[in-house]
Order: sequence, then C-alpha cells, then structure tokens
Amino acid sequence: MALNSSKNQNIMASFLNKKTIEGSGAAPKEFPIKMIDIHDIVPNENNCYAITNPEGLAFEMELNGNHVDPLEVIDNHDGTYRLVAGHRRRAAVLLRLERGDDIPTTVPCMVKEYQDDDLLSAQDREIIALIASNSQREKTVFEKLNEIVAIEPLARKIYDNKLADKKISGSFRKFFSDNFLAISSSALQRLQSLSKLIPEGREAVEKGELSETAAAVLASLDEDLQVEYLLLLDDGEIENTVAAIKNFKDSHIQKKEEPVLEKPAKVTTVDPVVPAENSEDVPVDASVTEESIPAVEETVHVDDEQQTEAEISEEETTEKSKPVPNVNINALLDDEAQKDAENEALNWILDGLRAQIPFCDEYIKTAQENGNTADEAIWYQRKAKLLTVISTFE
Amino acid sequence: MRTIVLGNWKGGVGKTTIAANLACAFVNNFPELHVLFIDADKQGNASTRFCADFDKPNLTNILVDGCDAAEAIQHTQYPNIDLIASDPSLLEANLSILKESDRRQDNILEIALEPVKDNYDLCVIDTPPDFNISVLNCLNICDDLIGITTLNSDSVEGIKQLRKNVIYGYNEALDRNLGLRGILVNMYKSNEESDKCIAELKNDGFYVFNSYLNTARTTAEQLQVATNEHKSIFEISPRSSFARGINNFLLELIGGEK
Repeated sequence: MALNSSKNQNIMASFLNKKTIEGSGAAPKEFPIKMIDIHDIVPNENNCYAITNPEGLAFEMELNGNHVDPLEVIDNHDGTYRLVAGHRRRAAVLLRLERGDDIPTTVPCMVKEYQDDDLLSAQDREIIALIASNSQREKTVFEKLNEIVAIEPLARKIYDNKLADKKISGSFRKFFSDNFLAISSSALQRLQSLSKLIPEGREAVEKGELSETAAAVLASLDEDLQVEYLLLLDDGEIENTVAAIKNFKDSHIQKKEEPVLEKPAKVTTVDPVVPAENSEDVPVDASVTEESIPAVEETVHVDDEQQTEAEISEEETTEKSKPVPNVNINALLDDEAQKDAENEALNWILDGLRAQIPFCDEYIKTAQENGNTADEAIWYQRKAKLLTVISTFE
Repeated sequence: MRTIVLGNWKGGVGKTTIAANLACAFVNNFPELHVLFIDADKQGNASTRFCADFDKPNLTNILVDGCDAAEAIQHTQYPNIDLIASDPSLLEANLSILKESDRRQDNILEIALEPVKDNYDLCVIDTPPDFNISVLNCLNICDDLIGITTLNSDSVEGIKQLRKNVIYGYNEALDRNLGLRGILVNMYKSNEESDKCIAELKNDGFYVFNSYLNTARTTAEQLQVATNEHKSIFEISPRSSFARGINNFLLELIGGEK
C-alpha cells in the first residue's frame, strides 16, 4: 500500500513542537558537507582560543595524505563563511598554501545553521558550539575564564528555565559547575575570582610564576596591593605561596565594611561576634570585653538566683541556656574557688563562641545561594577563626 | 505491562463497550492478572462504567499538572482492575499541551506510568474517535492497536482514516513503527453487506480477527442493562453471544501471533 500524500503527515508534525519531533528520535536535519575555498572562510570573532602550533598540524596533514577533517562553518550569506570549529585547521591549510604545497584550496565544511529557540538565541547556540568544540583542549587559565564569562549567562538562562519547571533544585553555582564545566564549584569560584587579577598578575600565572590558587588569593586584594606584592615577588623578596600572600594581605590593614546580611529567622537577637580589625593580634583570654558580654548574655537566662555548686556543674553540660551562676564574691579570694570560677568563665565564653558557629553556617549558606562570594568568604573566615580560637582554649 | 489500545475514527462502533468488557474478560479468565484501564476519551464513558470517582485526579492531571500516576489511579468495582479516569477537562489538556514548546508532548503518560507499570500485567485503553494529545500519548505506549468496526461503509471508512491519518501520520512525524494489529468486527450480522465490508477490509490490507462480535436478538438490550448498571456483560448474561464473542476474541488476541 503506497503511503498517502505527504500533506497529511506534515499536518500532525506541524502541530507538534520541536522537542516532540526531535526528542522522538525522528531524523534530525542533515547538514550537508560542502567544499569551500579556504580564503572564503573567516575566523569567528568570538573565538577566544589561541591557535597553537599550526605548523605541527600542517606537517601531520602532509603525512596523512592531505586529509582535513570537515570544518564547521556558518554561512555569512555574503560569500564568506565563519568558523565554529576548525580555526587551527584553517591556519594549517593557509600555511601550507603559503609555502607552496600542492594541495587544493578548498576544504570540506559542514555548513551549520543555528535556530533561535525559546530558551537561547541562535547566537547563544553558536557560542556554545564554539566552546564545546574546544572541550578537549588543554586550556590556559584565562581561556577557561573567558569561556566561563561567555557561557555563564547562557547557563543561567537554562538554569532559570529548569528551576521554573522544577526539573532541578539547588544553587546556580552548583548547576553551572556540575553541568557546564568539568570542575568543582569551589574551583569555579576560584576561577571567577581571578577576573579581579591585574594584568601583571595574569602574566605571572601564564609564565608559571604563580599558581592559580595563589592568584585567586591575590585577586582578592586591592589593585595597588596586588601591584606591591608582584613587585616584591619579582625582586624575590616574597614567596609565591598562598600562605605568603595571605600573610602579606593580613599585614596590611584592610578596611572592610560590615556586611549587611539578613539575620536568619531564628531564635535570638544576638548580633554575631564582630571580629576586630586586627583580629589575629588580639588573643582571646578569659576576660571578656565589656561590649561583648551584653550581647552574648541575651542567649543566657537566669534560672535560679540561688544555685548550689553541684547544680552549676550539672548544668554546665547544657549548651544553649546556661544559667548565670551565683558566684560568691568572697569565695573568689580562695585559690581553689578562683580557679573554678575562671574555668567556669572560660567555658561560658567558649560556649558562647560555639553558639556562633551555626550562625556562620547560615550566613555562608545564604551567601552561597545568592552567589555572594565576598560574603561567603568573610563568613567562612570568621567560622574558621572561631573554630581555631575555640580549639586553642578547649 | 502490555498495552492494548482500541480505536476507530468513527464513533459509536463499540470501542468503550468492548474495551470495558474485554478488561473484565481478562480478569475473569485470569484471576491473578492485574489490569490498568485508561479512559482517554473526554466523554468519560468508560470511567462511568468503572464507577469512577470524578473528584480524584485523572488523566488530565497527569498530562497537564504532572500529577503522579499513583495519585490518578483509582480502584474500580472489580478488585483487579484499576482505572485512570477522564472527564471533559481532557479537552483542556489536549489543547493546552499543543501550545507547549518546552517539553515533549508525546511521552508524558509514558513517563508518568514508569513507576507503576510493573504493578500491572495489562493496560487497556479506550480512545475517542479523534486524534489529539491524549491519543498521541496512548499511541506512544501502545503495544497492540486494535481497530473496532461495525460493518457499514462509514465505519470501514473510519478504520481507513485511522490508518491513514493516525498511524501513517504518527509514524512519519515521530519516526515510529506502529501498526494496526487487527480489526475486530462488532455488531456482526451474517448477511451479504457484512461480508462485503469484511472482504473490502481484507483486500485493503487489514488483518481481520476471526472472532466476530455478533448481534444477537437480545444483545443490544443486554448491553443496555450492563451499561446502565455499570456492570460487565459477564455479570448480566455470561452465556450471551456477546460474552462468548469477547472471550473468543481474548483467546485469539493472546494466542495469535503479532
């Protein structure tokens, strides 16, 4: 039985959306391969990848019977075609022609066409293709960075779309790094922080004088400090390690603004512990400063005015609500009692500090969700310092 | 889960009656069998036959709202037959999904059924005399497509239209390979006109099942009672011609080759 006229098939197909037609495994549009003159092929202005060693490729081509893998191009509709994939091949072929090799001037090309769809424009898709065709390359740090800068807005569109459809959940950063970049989200953060690196810093990384991780730390400094550091590095007066840069950073008083964060909708009204400007220099000892006592005290409520020593030591084990012990002033004169009192005071302080840790986690989480790397770093540092201090005195 | 879809572009040929009774025939003959009945017709007639609770989520909710199949599946008056019901809201599903561009329109039901399909051995689907998104989703999961026909030219034409517009169109658009398993003759009366129709179908390349569903003198009345009382023919008149016909068809269906 002969198939009926194509008119009927197309009616059904014309009502169904692209996703249905293509997703079903129906044959996709085929892209023809054309022989195009190499001089009609122009590089893509969005190509941020270096063309490494075209001579080597030219040599390989010579050995391999002048074989050229089909390039991917898009018709510019003005007689020229722009490249999506094949910049190096183009360079190699041009080289060979220049030096007079007996090869055809035409090369095989897959002529592609990108369409706008609901999510991304044709141009977006072209950029993705450009980047994807380089996924197997060894890339410099800054090629990677440029890639990320280019692709992030596109990834964001896709993320927002999927989030709205409830197909995914979680932070954008994780989605971005998991699905688009073969790197962890902390590596992504590091790479993105590199965008603040001054050009001299970039050079240092490219020359191998500074590692990516060290550069990420350097990038968090103000520009003039970056300059200063790099000069010292050049003169050999400072190390290129992460620790060295951190020390360099800390030794310069940095004026940081109090980050304005929403307090987690939780229990207390306690202000988080404010680190001193030069927090590393101030040791935390058993005597707590005047300002912080009232703040921390709000988490503490007095259960019973008259508490025996026994009851006090019992309650020392409860975390959150610690009753203020009724310390007999006269007893302080007694050495034994004084020691006890000091220990009790220390534990009270440490408990107060420990209570801050969940707040830090909250802020870190909030900052991560909002993509706020600066705040995240600040709270991470604060938490780290808290833990250090607590463990010092435990 | 093997899925049987009953169709014809002509209405009133008996798809719903046959589908519902066929499901019952299966569980009568094979008590261990678990059957899922899907009503894909917005008229919801099959749902009514199976005493559906129309307040529960149904096929529309699955297609449009992404409702889990488990929520939309309800028990019927038969212990081993479960139902996904339909009602006029299916019209909305059919239209609104056509306008969607972000997701595939053809495999929504398939995906929804994935978690529950191992609970059932058989799925019987009643379709409307039409082509739309819900029918598309049923074809997507169909293993056996059965054309129901009566023996007049309109009905036969409906079968031809089913093949032409649905099967060919579907296969072409979505690169599939669906075929009509065969034609089941309903309301058969042994006369010249009937035999002419059957011959025409066979000549046109259709496979016609050997079991015909006869129209005996009392069949119409029996089916009328069965329909109105939401019962199967097997509960009303188990030895009636129609009942025997359904059982014969069942045997041919499972014994026959694909």
